[in-house]
This record gives sequence, C-alpha cells and structure tokens, in this order.
Amino acid sequence: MTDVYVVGTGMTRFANHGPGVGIPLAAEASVAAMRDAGITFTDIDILYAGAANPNSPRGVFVARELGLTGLPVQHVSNASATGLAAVHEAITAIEAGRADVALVTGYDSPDTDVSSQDVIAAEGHHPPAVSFALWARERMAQYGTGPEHLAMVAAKNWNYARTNPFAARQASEPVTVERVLASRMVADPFTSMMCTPWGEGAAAVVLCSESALKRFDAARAVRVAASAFQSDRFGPNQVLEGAIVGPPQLTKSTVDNALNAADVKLDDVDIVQLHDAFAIEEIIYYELLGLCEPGQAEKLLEAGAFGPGSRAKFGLPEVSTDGGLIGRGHPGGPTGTAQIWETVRRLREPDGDRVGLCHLLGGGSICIVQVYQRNE
Amino acid sequence: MTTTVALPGSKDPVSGEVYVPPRRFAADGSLRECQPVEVPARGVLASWTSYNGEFYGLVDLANAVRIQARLGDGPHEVGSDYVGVRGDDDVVRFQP
Repeated sequence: MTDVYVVGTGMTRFANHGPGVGIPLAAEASVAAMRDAGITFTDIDILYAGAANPNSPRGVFVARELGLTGLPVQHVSNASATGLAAVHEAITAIEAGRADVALVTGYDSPDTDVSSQDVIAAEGHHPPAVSFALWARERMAQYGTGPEHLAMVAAKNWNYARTNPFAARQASEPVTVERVLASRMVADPFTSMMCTPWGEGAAAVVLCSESALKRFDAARAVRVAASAFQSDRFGPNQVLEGAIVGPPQLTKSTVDNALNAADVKLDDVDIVQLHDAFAIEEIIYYELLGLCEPGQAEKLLEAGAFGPGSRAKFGLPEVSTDGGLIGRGHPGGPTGTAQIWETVRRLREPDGDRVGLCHLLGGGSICIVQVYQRNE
Repeated sequence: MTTTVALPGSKDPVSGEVYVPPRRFAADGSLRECQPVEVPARGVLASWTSYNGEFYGLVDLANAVRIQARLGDGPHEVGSDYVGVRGDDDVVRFQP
C-alpha cells in the first residue's frame, strides 16, 4: 500500500460570508491549494468535496467551476468532521490505487439562508452549547474546574487566531481571561468568547501517492501517517436523544488507533488541532489524548501549557495553533481541511515541528483523528 | 395543569439493556428486536444549564439510562431527585 502525502494547501478566510457564496469560496481555496502544489485541475484524478450544511452546493458544482475534465466527484458530508472525513476518503482512494492525485475541498455557505444551528436543530438535537455546557458543569463538580479555566483555553485560542490571517476572530489586542469571562453569557458556564462563532469559508488540500510525489516538491510534502475513524460504541452514559455527540471517550479510542497505526508516540506530537467548539472540549480532550492525567488539565493551563512554547517548557504540544474552532471559526465543511492547512504550515517551517495531529468530532457521533509527519 | 409521565423506552430481552427513547434493535449490532417498555420519568440530576431562558439537564434514570432533557425553571441542584411532568405545551420537563 502506498504512502500518501499532502503537497498543496489553500484556504479562504473564515467569516460571516453569508449564504450563496459556496462555489466561489470553494473555488478560491481549491485554486490556492493547486497553485501551492504547482499543478492545475487537469492534474487532479479525483475530487472529494466536503460540505456539512445540506444546503451548501453539491461538490459537482464546485468541480464545474474549476473545469469539466470528466474526473469523478464525490460529495462527502459528516457534520463537523466533514473535512477530515473527505480527506479520509481521498487517502483511501489513493491507497487503493484508484487515484494518484486527489483534491479535497471543504466548504460551507448554504444556497438558502439556513444556519448550521438550524440544521442541527432539524436533526433533533438540543443546541450544541447545551450539551457541552452540561459536560462542563459535570466536570466542574467532579474536578473543581472553574470558569477561569475555560477562559484560559478561549484566550489562548483567540490569541493564536490573531496570528492567522484566515481566522474569523481577529482581536485588535491580546485577549485576556478577564475579557473572556466578561463577555455575554450563552449557556452557563460558557460566555460567547468560549464558543465557536461558526461562520462560512473554504479550505482545500492536494494529496498524492508515493509514485506521484516526484511530480511535486518533495521537500514541502507532508506525509499522512494515519487516519483513524470511529463512531460511538454503546456504553455508560450514552445519551440517545438531544445531545449532539455521545460520551467523550470516543476520542480516546480513536486517538489510540491513530497513534498505533502511525507508529508514533504521543510524546513525539508537536502540535495538535482539536475539536474545541466549546472550551470545555479542549480540556477534556487533553486528558483523553493522554497529554495529562484526569483532573490535571487545569493546573497545566494555569502554568501556561498548550500555548506558545509549550513543547520547550512543558514537553507538551501546542494545541489549536491557528485559533481552533473558537478563534479560527467552524464552518463544518472546511474545518478539517483548515486544520490540515495549519498543520502543513507548521511542518513546513525550517527547523519546525515534525509531527501534527488533527482531531474532529461529527454530530451523531463520529470521531476522526489524523497524524501528519514532516517528510524526511 | 401538569401530568406526571412515563417515558417510552425499549428493552433488550437478552442483555436487559434499557433504551430511552426506544430502539427497535439492541445496540450491540445483533439485530435482536427489543421489547417496548415504559420507563418512569424519575431520576437524579447529574448536570444542568440554561440557554435562551430554557433549562436543560442530564438526568440519570433507573437501569443506568441517562437522558438529556428539558428542566422546569431553576435553580436546580445536582444530585437531587427529579420527576418529569408534561406541561400544557406538551413538553416533558423535569423538576425536583
């Protein structure tokens, strides 16, 4: 089975672009990714188009914008994890020998003005903020987590977003814990700055097989070390109605599978992109990834772990380095491909990071974890 | 006017697992048909929050069944016994 590489990335800014711009956003990100890879649409063997909002245009219309070249076009939709799910399908196609070069474009902007939250409600879920606020308050009772710890996560991610020109949230000055705590209450204990702003946007990646790598600049390529994909396995505290996702333990088994498949130790991971739509998620996932023992995340946050310099100071990865879902934004279709955009950016830096991990949940629920390695 | 309710559920005849809301098949993938049961809307509040003026909670019912449900007006207390009642708007809300 061939290795798979990322050889191009591109994205648009995530923002409140509004409805009706799915195709131009997807095209802009796709062209940026192909130009980054040094190819055109004629070099693409297969297109996977990922959109989470069912009212976003189907992938074939994105393909038509780029060229009518006859290639197979598959539309992928898997809620918040859509981008990583589409990449997972592209990896599978390349590994199976059905394609040498694949374009994956994640995007969301509905043709009609139907928000992500409307779509989630139509599936029978309570508002996502509710489910995760219930996680937060349960943890607060169990471990003494305070609103200030949630604000530490949010401030970190808002401040990372200040360095990302494509992030939805661009604070004009450094964001403090106090400012996060003082923002509007959404679902106790979450203030608005602890919650994702959702939004619209697009991000794209070009992947290729080992045999096709000679067509690209191999020094800029990033190897896909693993892609693990699971759904809920029935167990304690499984909520069957109302909650947008099942118990958080799904993350642990998916991460374990990904690291095993990649033959990578957690200690080797330099950067992590997490599903931090609500600040409590990041705290819980630190522990489920194995970055710390249960109940220890708060002390590490207080000391400044998981932010800039975390690797050198704590031996722990930096997390949500592009601002995460809180700072960069979270249109469901392109979030995963935006995570890869950021991972590739970091792994391409001279003397930079060597291993990155991307993690997303999709409502229902599913979990996808992918491991990326600098090509050495 | 409110009415105390039982919640529709189902039970796996082999494992005894109870599901709320009801499932046709057992969750283990065996495709065993479950039997309909009624589950008393009584449990212990595990967590709660408010959103847009509505209260929501996690309620642990009998048989290790956890549900995410609407609550009556707060404040609420984790660890307390709660019962579900159907209001005039036909929505079941749990309250102490």
